[in-house]
Amino acid sequence: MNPMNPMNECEDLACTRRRLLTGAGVLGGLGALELAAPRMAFAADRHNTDLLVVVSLRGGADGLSLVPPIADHDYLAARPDIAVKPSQAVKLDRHFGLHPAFAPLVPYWHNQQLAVVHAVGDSDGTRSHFEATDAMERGVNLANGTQTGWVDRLMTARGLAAADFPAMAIGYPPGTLRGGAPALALNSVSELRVQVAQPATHRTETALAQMYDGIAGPNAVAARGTLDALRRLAPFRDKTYVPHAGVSYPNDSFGNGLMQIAQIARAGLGLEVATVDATGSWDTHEGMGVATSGYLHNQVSSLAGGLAAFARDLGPLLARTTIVTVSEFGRRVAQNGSSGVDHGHGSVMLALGGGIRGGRVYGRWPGLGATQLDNGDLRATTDYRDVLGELVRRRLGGTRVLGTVFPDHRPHELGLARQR
Amino acid sequence: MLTGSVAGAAAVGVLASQVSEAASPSRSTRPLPVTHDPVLHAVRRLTFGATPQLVAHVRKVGVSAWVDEQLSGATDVGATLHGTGLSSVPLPPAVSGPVMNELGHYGITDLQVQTFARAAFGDNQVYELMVELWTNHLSIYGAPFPQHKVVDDYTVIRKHALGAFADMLAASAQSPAMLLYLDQAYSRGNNPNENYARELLELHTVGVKGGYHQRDVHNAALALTGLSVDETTGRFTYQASWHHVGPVRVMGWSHPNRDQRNGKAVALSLVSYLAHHPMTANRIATKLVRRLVSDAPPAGLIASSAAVYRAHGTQIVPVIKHIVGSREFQRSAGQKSQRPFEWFVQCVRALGLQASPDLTTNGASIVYALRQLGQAPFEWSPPNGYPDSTSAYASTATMLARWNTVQTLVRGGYHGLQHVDATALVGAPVPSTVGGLVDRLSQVLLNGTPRADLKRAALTGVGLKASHVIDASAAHGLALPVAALLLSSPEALVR
Repeated sequence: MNPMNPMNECEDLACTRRRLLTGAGVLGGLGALELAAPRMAFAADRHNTDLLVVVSLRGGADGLSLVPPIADHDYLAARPDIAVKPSQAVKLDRHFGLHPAFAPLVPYWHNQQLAVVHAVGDSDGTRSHFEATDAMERGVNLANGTQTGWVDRLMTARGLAAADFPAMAIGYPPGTLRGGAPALALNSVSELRVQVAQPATHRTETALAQMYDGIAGPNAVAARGTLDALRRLAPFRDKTYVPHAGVSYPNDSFGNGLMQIAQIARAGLGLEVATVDATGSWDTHEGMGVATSGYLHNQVSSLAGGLAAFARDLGPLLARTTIVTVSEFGRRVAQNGSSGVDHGHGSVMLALGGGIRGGRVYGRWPGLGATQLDNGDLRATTDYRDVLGELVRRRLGGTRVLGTVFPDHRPHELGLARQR
Repeated sequence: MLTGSVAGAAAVGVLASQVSEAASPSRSTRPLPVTHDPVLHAVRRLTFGATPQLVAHVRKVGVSAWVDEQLSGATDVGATLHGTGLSSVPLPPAVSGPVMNELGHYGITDLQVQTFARAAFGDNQVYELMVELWTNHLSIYGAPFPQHKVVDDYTVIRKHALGAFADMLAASAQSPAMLLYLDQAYSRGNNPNENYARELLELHTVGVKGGYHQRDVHNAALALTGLSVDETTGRFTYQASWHHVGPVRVMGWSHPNRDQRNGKAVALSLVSYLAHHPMTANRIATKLVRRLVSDAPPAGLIASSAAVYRAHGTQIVPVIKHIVGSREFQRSAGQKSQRPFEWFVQCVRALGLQASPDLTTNGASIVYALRQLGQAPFEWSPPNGYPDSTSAYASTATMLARWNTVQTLVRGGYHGLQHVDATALVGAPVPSTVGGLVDRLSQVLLNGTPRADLKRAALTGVGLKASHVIDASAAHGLALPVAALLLSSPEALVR
């Protein structure tokens, strides 16, 4: 073990193993997108839960660059060309720093709304993007054949199927939302229109509704959901969204996606869950650059700039918002021959929001010495479901839903979220 | 090269409704009625759009003879194309010197437009369908190295699309586009890059449950070292000095690997072993059955198809014939949907659109449409290729993009395509009522009489009663909005 073990003294965590409710029964494909009349109802438990924003860092984000263990000599030795050096990092504590491109988020660290969990990952340890992503989005072990996503189960367990507008996805398919709970995928609110000559708009939309009425299957479900969204979001699509004063989103897919989420969240339509992908790929096998410039630097800049703009734009809403980042795995400790790092295991997760006990690095540091690694990789000493499970329990629905959301993992207490 | 981002794919949102709506509390739904006409079914499954002319041809010669016709001698990679002003899309010249010098003028858009043109206007429809499948099986995000992807397109995919998979895989392992995309080009024995080795096992051959472990991935990476790209010419090269020396073992394959001069043969021996592996047979069979039969591929047909693959030394054509001749295929009407690319091409073909002479030089707006739809060729950034399932594309964003794209299509809004010839589309005699017009267009565009609700919807869309009397001029004017509505329907999504 690394003698420094600086991450939060886990005594209080390891001890409070929560008792888990076992699975609360069958997950129904409740009312997929058979949305009720276009009223602006809030979900029943709206005031007891946070808005959850899940940010996916696809490709396997290098936790050792995002939150470098700057005091660990093994880290610097394994990465002679690409390490984030102690002098370059934003110092978080005596062991860890933040990648310098996280600068826009540093204020949230200092006001204790941003927390880091390090050496986190799945329990299967697969190094396949597709397998790891799939299992993680389903929120179960690889061997578990459950087909629904963990966010979908969370929504179903909370009875959100009857809500008007509980979930939205920006960008490519969130496996987290796969299942029966209603969710709307869109690129931009302003694009939600059928582009025909004005007098024909209503007739065309009515015709489309008639031809998809009563038809089964995913396409028809999507068609009806689309028409419903067109109706409900019509009041917003023609207005240019104005973020809070001084807020400027990065002009990339992540920034634009977050801005759509902020628009819907601030409109008071009852949004409960949003998913979005960080810009670009985190699969840095090659040419990842250095701390101050290059590919990964730009990736982190986009992530940090987007999250900071979003947090600021939410304003008072941030107090009841929980943002969490996930990535399918971390990367090899040692750099490869192409100034990159191959697939690894342990990575980091970030949690940001009013209910987060931030300003701390959570988890248990396993060390980077030769005997401490997992096939050359940072061990995952914290299961990603420990993080998500705690957010669910304390901020997003409570203990009663936990067993259905994460049926085959008993989350350990980390202490990173306050009870609502 | 970083293995691409999801940014390309992020142009589209995909909806998460992948579980049946059987429990829907508000109303009951029923499957869309589909025809079990074997000719129409075969043509829908095996082409990019069942035009009335093609359906008539297949009725005349029979499905089996037509399939044989399509699979024999259809490896004309240039493909003869139909359409006024566009007799063929020329292939790029075979490269003899530096790739960048000879193909420097190629961008990925050129290849995307050519791919669309061959699918829409080519005679070799089954061949083009297989080109699409292998393009995604050996998927490469093309934008960072378009010239290399052009070379990959015709020396790997098109050359072997109806040949032997083992040959295609060997060509892929020596394709600069693949070696750059998955970082193999930089992998050296003293510090190998595992990216290509892992995806070769996981995606290209035995699959993630193929029975290998991390040490197999690492050994494969070692065995493959030296497969690289010459920085000066941009062509494949074997860098002997980068090749790892020493015994290598990957699953059931091993090699003493004593001599750097012999490293290329070692690497290709591994590639060949993997291409012939029973798990690869299973994986390729699954992919073909999923493509041709069902989103839920039947296990029995997968097993028998895998056996055919192995018995024929990884030849692809016998597997296709086996699948198309199966009972499962014949009974699978309604089990596949038109993915966005197929649907767009189908609309072009159904509307009888002709290519403009400037298609190959001015077709960027078509690529834009495909991107909005979420399936522009060569733009899927991870190495697993575009998904092949209905639910992957059943989203708000894609559905809306379909409806808007077909409106643009009938308005003649895409450069490189001529306007709809409404007179030809409606045909003769011109129907004398709006109801008659809807029936006629349904025959032309959807190969059948419209369901009652669909007909009612089309009438709603144009705001007229079925009995409303029209003259030829009115019929031709109404043809475009009616066509757009019919091509927006659930019927138009049946594959």
